[in-house]
Amino acid sequence: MLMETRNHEELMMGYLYDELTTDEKEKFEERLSANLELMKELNELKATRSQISLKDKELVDPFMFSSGGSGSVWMATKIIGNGILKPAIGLAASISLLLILGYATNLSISTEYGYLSLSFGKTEKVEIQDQYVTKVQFNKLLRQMDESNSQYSNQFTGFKSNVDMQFASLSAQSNKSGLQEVQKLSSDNARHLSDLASRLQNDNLLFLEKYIAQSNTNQQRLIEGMLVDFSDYLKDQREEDLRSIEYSLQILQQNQELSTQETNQVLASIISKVNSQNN
Amino acid sequence: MLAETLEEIAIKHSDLLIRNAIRGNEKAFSQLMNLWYKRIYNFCFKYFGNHDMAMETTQKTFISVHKAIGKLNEPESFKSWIYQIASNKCREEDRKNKRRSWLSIFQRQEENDTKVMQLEHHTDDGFYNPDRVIEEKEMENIVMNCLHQIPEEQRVIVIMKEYEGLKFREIAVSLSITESTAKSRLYYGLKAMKKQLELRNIYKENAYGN
Repeated sequence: MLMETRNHEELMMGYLYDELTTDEKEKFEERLSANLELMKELNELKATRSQISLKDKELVDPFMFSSGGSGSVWMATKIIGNGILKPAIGLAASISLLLILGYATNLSISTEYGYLSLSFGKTEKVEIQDQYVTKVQFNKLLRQMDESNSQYSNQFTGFKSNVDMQFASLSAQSNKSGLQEVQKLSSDNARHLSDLASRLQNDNLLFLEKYIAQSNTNQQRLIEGMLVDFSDYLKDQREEDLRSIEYSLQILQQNQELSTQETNQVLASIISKVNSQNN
Repeated sequence: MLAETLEEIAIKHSDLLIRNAIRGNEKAFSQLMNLWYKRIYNFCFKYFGNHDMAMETTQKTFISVHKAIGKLNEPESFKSWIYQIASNKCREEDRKNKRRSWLSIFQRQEENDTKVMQLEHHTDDGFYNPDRVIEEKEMENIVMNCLHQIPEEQRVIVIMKEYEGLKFREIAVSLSITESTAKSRLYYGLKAMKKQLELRNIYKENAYGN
């Protein structure tokens, strides 16, 4: 009896899902036509099947990250979960992306000299003090200028007092030859003063020329250095971009080869199926 | 009978992918996973009736598949093998979460479905019919609820046969039972589903002809 029941269930399921052999199917259909109860049961099962259909849920294909080998695999999908997991993954992905970009572009952030600065590419510490005249050096130069000026001023004062004294003695003599002497002395003094002024002017001019030349050289050197660095950075970036493009092309090629293999297989299978049906 | 989708055709003809994945080709595995992910997710979703648990179990299934695929000797048995892993994972997760009440799960499911309904404005004929959409969603919820009222050993076979379209032979291999037992459990599973539909007064005797 149990065997009979079992057989009945198996045949019913096999028939319902079209998994009986032709022979079994024919025999079962004979039984069906002769047995109304059996037919009723079959119809009930068919009605149940038609009412329990469910649509598939759609979801986004996952991304897979693998560490290689048989170690571990991580997967993430767009709808990996509701609640805090989704925003947390988004945040983590954004931070990771920023870190990767930062690493790839050698991003550096600093707050030196009271400024927030962002820089890309290889950075070298630029010693600004070596490139410019420092405050100490500048003060020293000013002091030297002051000393030089005071020296000239002292000389000039001494010379003036000397002239005054000579003028006073000559006035006292009050004779013609004395007057000539005074005129001669006066012209000497004027020449001497003019020489002194021109020397002072030349000295100052030379000093300024030297200072400006030195400053220009330093600035030129600095700008040249920066241009060289920028050129190196551009070169590195270009090489990196080329490597990236080359890698992407390789991946595309691999994908294409794999897709071609799959397509060939699908086509071969379809062709063989069609051939078998034709035969 | 439903027309085969391109995805289903691709699944049927994924022998090369399976062989490459067995050999350790990560790209092939990734493609294989993309092909099977939706199927396994839907299997798990129908088993649990809950998106989060289905996602978690699907991911665990694929992690196990990735670990063990190198040991798969017969690429032809991949389908049975992956469903075997998925059903084992489902049972494992089910045991872990047994304390959860189905009521709360279905409440959450209803919330999710309401959100989905708001997005799915168009029906198959291209027109938005809110009544029809709500009716379909309600029916799906009822069927899911019925599915979770029948015994687990019958439920898993109903899902495998009715929604995943496995052959009895494949079900038998996946669940390590005989074909005869698989057929018998499905028979009683369908009977139990009919009973559940009758309890909700929605069983229609001549529905199969529609």
